Amino acid sequence: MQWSDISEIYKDLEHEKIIMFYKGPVPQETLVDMGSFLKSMLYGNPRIKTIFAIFVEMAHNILNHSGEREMIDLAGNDIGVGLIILRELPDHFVLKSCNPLRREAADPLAERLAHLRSMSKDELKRLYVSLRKTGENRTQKGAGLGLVEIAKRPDTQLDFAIQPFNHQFDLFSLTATISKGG
Amino acid sequence: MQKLELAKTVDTPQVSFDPTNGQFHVEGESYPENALDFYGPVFESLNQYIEMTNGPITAHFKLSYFNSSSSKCLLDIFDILEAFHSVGGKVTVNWYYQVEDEDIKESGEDFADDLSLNFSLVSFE
Repeated sequence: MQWSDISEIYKDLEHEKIIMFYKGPVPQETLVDMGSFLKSMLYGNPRIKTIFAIFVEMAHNILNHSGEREMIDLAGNDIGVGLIILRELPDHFVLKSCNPLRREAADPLAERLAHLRSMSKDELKRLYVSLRKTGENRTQKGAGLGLVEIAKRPDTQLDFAIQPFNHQFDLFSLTATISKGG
Repeated sequence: MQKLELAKTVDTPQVSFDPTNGQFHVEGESYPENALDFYGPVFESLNQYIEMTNGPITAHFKLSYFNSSSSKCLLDIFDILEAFHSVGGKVTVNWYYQVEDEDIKESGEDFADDLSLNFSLVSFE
């Protein structure tokens, strides 16, 4: 992309069928506003609930787990920074999230996601129910169920990538491809 | 013991619990930043009730969306109800779903599968 030319930016975003594009800190208030925007943009679409649900899990992942943090008060509370993109293609919606990730977190996360991707939808559903019951991934911030929640959806394919970013972080991205169906 | 009354917001449901008749209601959408913080007072209220009485609880869940961390907190609520039921408390659960909302219907079934409570799925238009 040639970001010095505004008409190129406009055309690129249009060409890529971008419904929503956000890069920055993701506080809950922003998540709520973006969610409302999605609901109005997708009003009446049969996939609106799936897209909204995946968006919430991705945005909370960024808020809680992004390696890049923004301080929000003097008490030391901070929120994660990341990128969220929703595109509409002829047969699919594509929802992407991306954030820097502490390097030591990369391997365990890649292992976990590769494992989820190897499972069937039925197995994922059972895993969700059993993890929810044991609470083994639970922390003060969440239930640790977000990735399984996305992966188990019958109309959705979940892909991920982790690539080198800078001296401190890798860059982690999740891609949910949601079929439009019928 | 006081009545619990949490007003509905854009990312949290309306929650009420009336200890005089055991009517418990959750209604709306649930995806707060911190589900444990939000549901903490709800757990407390239910726990307080079951410690001081063996009166009935009728629980109504009418949620149109909840995220994964809220889902865990809903299970916590069911665990409290289940514990009460196991010592002889009378518990009735109504789980409402809009006709054709398979997500909400299915999540109700998933909760019900693991519980020995009197659990009804109730559809509405």
